[in-house]
Amino acid sequence: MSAPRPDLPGGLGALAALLLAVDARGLGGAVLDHPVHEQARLFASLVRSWLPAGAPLRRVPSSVTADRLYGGVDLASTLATGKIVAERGVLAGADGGVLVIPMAERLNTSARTAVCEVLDHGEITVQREGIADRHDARVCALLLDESVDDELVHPALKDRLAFSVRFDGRTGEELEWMADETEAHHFETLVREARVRLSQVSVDDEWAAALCQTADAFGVDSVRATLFALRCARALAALDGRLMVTEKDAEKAAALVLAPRATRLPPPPPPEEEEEQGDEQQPNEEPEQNEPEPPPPPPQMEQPPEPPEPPEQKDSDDDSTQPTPDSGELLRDAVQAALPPNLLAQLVQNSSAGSMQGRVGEETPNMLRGRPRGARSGLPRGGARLHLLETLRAAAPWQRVRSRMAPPAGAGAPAPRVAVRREDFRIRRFIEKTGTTVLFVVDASGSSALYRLAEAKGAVELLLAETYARRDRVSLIAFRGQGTEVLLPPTRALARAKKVLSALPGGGGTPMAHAIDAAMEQAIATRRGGSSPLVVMMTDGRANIARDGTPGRKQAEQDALAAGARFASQHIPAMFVDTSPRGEVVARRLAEAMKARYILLPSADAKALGGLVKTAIQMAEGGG
Amino acid sequence: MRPVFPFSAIVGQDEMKLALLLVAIDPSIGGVMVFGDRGTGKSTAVRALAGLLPQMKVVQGCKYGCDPHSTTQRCDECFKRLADGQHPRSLLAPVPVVDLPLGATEDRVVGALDLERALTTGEKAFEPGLLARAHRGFLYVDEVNLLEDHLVDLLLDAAATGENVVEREGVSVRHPSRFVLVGSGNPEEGELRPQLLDRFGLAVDVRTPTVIATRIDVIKRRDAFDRDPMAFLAHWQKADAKVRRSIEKGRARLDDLAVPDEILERAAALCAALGTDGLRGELTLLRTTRALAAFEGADAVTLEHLRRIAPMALRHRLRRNVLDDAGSTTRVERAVSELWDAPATDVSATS
Repeated sequence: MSAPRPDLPGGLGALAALLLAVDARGLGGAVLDHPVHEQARLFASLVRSWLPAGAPLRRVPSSVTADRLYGGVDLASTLATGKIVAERGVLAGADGGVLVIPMAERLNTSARTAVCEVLDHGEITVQREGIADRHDARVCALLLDESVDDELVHPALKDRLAFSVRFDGRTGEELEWMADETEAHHFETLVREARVRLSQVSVDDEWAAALCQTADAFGVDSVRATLFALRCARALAALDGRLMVTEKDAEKAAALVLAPRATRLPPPPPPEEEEEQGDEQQPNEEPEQNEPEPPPPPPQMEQPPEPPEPPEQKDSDDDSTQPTPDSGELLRDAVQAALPPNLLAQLVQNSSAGSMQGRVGEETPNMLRGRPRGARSGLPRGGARLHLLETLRAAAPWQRVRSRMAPPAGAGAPAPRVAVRREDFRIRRFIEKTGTTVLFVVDASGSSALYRLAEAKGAVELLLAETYARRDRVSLIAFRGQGTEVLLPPTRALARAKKVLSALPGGGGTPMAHAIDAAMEQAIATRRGGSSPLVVMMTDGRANIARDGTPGRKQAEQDALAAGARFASQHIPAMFVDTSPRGEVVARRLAEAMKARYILLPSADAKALGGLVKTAIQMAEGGG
Repeated sequence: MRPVFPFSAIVGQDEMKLALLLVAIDPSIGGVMVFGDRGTGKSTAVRALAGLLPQMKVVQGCKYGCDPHSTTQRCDECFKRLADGQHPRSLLAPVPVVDLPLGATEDRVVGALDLERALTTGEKAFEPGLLARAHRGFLYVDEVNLLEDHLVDLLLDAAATGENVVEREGVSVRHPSRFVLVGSGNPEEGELRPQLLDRFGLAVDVRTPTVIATRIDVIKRRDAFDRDPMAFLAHWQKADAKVRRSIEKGRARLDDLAVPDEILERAAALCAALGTDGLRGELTLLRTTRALAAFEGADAVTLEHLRRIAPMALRHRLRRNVLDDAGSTTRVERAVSELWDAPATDVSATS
């Protein structure tokens, strides 16, 4: 083709939009990183405009209910016909088009797994409320990441989307440019032709190998990511009117797909970064010796502290291409150039948090409130929602009798197909209480707690085991130096809690007032979420950092007592575990101020402590 | 029917593949739990298994897929047929591999009153659910650790009794429901309930391949499959057929293989050393060892068989330390070598 071809956008963000339209199914979609709303809308509508005509664009509101997501019973038609009429849900409705999910970090577990299924298989299985069905749902998903601090878009979702788009100035400008009427037709043609070409584009083994090496060098473990990079390279070649992936395509693909996922850098990060963080870095325990020709080995200090199990399979088929280190090298520079600006800081954090990859908005109370638990008879009022299917089921056995007994309908008004009476009504039932959340507030300061930190950790682990058996949720807050840090938001993932805990460093002052404030905030948030909080403070009570951050024991203690009194006013059940060797008067006073149950750690042996928490939890549930 | 990635084309992940094949040979082993990282092909393997299993004989017209040769595990209708002395025709049907999506509701899992028939004809008929469809096959729950507790209860109930009893909306039905439960999940995203974990005969860990050449293979095959599924399937058809034959042969051999007392004693000693409570561990060791010997066409069950399957049969049964899941494989291996590698070798170096 010799027609003059317009330049493609030079920025990665705008390019991602084009690529998604070329291979929506293969690339899954994109996370839009904190976009301005107009930009997100523009991005979505551009992608849609380049998809084949008639492509839908559906938004999933964060309040979506399961029946609208999966599809459910069509109320009107079902009543009119007396047959179950299924209605397609939002996911199936977006088939062939764009699915926009605002506030993706708030997506609840069941919605998230549904979206994952759609991205994996291009279809959605419905096994709900009398409907067993399977719909095509080949979507390009755009997840709007609007997280503020501790909630992140779930890694399982991110893993299934090729791109992560940052909205810098250039992306915005180029999106505007592409949306301009004079260009619209042009890009549409470009994408359409690329889509036709896509299946014929071939990739040299060399580039597949190079992408794998690059992924490895930057610590991108998921196989999906590399596959996305390969598809992305192919789509780039197709956009550029070629049938062969070149070095340029592979470079761009690596920058687009692999760079945002990097968890380590090939050259070692400057050492002062690590010292500052003060975390134990786990040196990689066994360098892989069986590798055929290791690429210039990245110093593997950032290796996430995975369980040190030997890799389970080392063998692979012999027909594999021998990776050529050169091509891997080329891509590396491309990735490096595209790394997000604050990556270094993130990397240090990632490595200390292990494979936890940020904090994940854990299961919020399901679709409505609490867990759905069937239906019971009752009238749909006062906020109760009708359970249509169960209502019909209740009415079904009586239909013959009722139609016989029904008074002749008024002239013109057709008799209803289904006679539903008041006593048939069933309403949805939810389990309101989501159990207890135990908030551990651990003193990691350098004061007298330091030499007892290990014991405190041991005690927390013990209590974790206790909560594990009870399926409660736990949260970890640590305080030292100038402030407090939520190490782990409420979760049921005990393995994670354990990992975070064992990596907890000690040292610094004791900002007690801050710690009590943080515990109170978390407890109130927990309550708002429908769960009963129980706060377990583990400290020697010796405050020495005042609320305003200045050192000084006297002021610090006063502030702590004041914070304790405020805490008590919220009636939050609490336990105060004194970790000092012989018990501190200040600790006892503080516990009193907080109206917390006081326990001296050394005198409480492991079992007794577990028992205490058990009773305290019961107390919390009774009171919450 | 959408094309499914062929089982034999899965690169690596040998332990997971072996576990699935062993439960296919002897379903009484009791299910497989797959722990693993994201994007390691957990669900690919399960779906691939569906395309591989040899067909089974079912009673014609039976909506539960009853086994024509079984006299005990039958649904009410088939029992009646048996009592009436009927000999219904049987036909070949694919072994069901049923997906249980996390969003499923109770009525679809256990079955419910067939509303349409109730409304239109006034007939009280039962509409079977997923537990009925999975009978004699596999029930797969992805992210099983996130499954709602009340659904877990239903699964536990059916798994324990081998039947599904439904008492709701005036229907009263009981039908056999024996299935191999396959779950997958990432323990970092939520713990599995201990009762449920206990139901799984085998547990395997899958990890992202660390060798680059392996990764390249994974990518290339997946890419080839995506581009031309039919050609890819044709290319792997032979290999898949071979695996299918080895499942068939393994099943045929299973009954003739006796497990020597010595192996039983060893299995018991291993369980005792690891402090696994209950008999379930020993029973699983016994069955899995036998299935492995059958699968490999061995003449006798040997200690080597036992040693190979010990980690997958026991790693999820080490109860004493719930928080230390990571080291469980190592712990099993250590116990194995302490018990059987006389004179005692330096164990600490191997872990």
